[in-house]
Amino acid sequence: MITATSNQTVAIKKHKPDFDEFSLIENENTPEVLLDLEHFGLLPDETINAYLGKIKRNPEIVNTNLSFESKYRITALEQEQEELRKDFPIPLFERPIEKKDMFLSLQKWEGYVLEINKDNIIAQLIDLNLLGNKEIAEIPKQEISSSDFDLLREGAVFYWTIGYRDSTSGQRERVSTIRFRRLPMWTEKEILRAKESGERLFKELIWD
Amino acid sequence: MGLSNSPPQDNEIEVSVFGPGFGECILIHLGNKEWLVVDSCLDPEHKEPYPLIYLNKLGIDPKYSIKYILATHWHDDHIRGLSRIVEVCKDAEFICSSAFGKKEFTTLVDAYSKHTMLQDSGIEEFNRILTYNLLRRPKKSIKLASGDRPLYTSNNSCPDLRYSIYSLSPSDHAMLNAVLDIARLLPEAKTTKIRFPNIQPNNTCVVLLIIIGELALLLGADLEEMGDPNMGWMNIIASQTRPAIKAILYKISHHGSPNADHQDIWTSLLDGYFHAVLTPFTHGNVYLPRETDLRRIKANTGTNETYITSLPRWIRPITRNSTVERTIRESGIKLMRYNNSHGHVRFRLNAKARPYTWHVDLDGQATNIENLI
Repeated sequence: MITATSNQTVAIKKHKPDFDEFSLIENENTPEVLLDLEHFGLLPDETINAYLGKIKRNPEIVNTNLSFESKYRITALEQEQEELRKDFPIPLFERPIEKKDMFLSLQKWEGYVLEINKDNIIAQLIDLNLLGNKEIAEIPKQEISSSDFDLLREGAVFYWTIGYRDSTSGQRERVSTIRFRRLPMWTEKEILRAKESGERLFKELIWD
Repeated sequence: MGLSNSPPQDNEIEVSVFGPGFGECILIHLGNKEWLVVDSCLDPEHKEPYPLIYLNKLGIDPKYSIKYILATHWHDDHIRGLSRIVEVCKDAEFICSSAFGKKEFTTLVDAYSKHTMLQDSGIEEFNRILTYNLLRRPKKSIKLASGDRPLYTSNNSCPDLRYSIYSLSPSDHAMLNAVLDIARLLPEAKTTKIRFPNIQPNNTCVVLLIIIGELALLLGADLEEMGDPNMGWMNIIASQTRPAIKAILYKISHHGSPNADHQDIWTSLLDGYFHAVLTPFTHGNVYLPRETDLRRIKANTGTNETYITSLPRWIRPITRNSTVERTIRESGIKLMRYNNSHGHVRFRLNAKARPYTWHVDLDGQATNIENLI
């Protein structure tokens, strides 16, 4: 989301697949005009550049308020907003993008627990990089996060990933992560459905 | 495959045992182009059930030649690809343990195959067999195997090729235990979903006795011995109603595990001179047979005619890029890999010739157990 401000805020949201169809829509709750461009598939900068390109090709949309209004369904714009349009390109301030750690996966397995011993677990792994390759792993318990301990039981499913984590500060570290899958609980409805369906199957088959 | 691709003659009995390290499948030519499939596993190269690949290799159409398909039990290593065989061989009779002819079992199959989202379990294979294959066959019944039950007989005009197929297990007592096991496995509301677990001991298991002319074959499946005279091998040995004939070929039970052995199997159920075969098994950090098992088996057979389809061992894990290898080492996690290699032991004999003489062919990693002791 990109905001353009004078006294009031103009928020631009990506919304529509065709730039020609973008519209300015008044937000009823705040004196905010939304350029609703969701689903546009463009990054904010691209959206703005496309918009500016449109203005360049069709200068009347900034010079003729009426034309702009009728063409782009501007409603209830304040005087300041009118001024704002005339002064395009307006100063736009990007909201700070929240930076996150990046993870580069080198190897991934799906596993399920076969045995739980005092110090380790025995699990069958399916290599998700080389599909179909099955391996057995003896995993020390200290490799399992304490938050996953309540999920540890025979038959429990987990993912083991090895890769590089690049932190926002630019630091790279090599990591091995085991995450247990938080599978849903059986519901009464599912059990009832399985019972009905199983009994139906039993009756429909001919047993000798 | 390195074996000759000539199909058996009509009067030739063939027992082909496939076991690629994890998995077991037996294919038997009963004579006159009639075949029986006991369990299934996948060929490591083609990822297709062994019987379909092998019969095609011999120039035989499985669709018309496989008459019977038996699931001895539900463990993953005995059932992979069985639904595919049932799908192809639409006219084949399907046989399974009497413990499965209960609504608790069909409920279990439905629950775990539809509602858990976790793939790769033998229970799904059963779901495909029951729901997608057998349910669509009009008026085709599922034969339930139990202790001392004659399942099928042939009326071949040649007495040497007349066959009868008997199930020797599960006993009534074992079957009741199996139903309790199944009921215990039914999920309860507000419990976390898990992958379908393997159940031990295996009370559902079907042991077969196949009599062709004057010879008999004993297929031990994974039947265990629990020291209870009402179930397991003790029950079979003590039975007064099973056919008294002694077998000249034994598929050793449960991959040679000591928990599936009983001294009287070797003396009461087997002929003085017999051939034996077993398949290896790996699960978790366990593999079978161990060298001590092979020595025990050799001592019990008293012959040098015991074969194994593949080598019972782990193999080195795949070599990955150095960063991944280093991280695995540093994490202290130990990786092992199944020895998933092709292995096939083939026995053939002329049912009309006396004395009965097995001709043994080995392919892939198959070998005589003498070579492993």
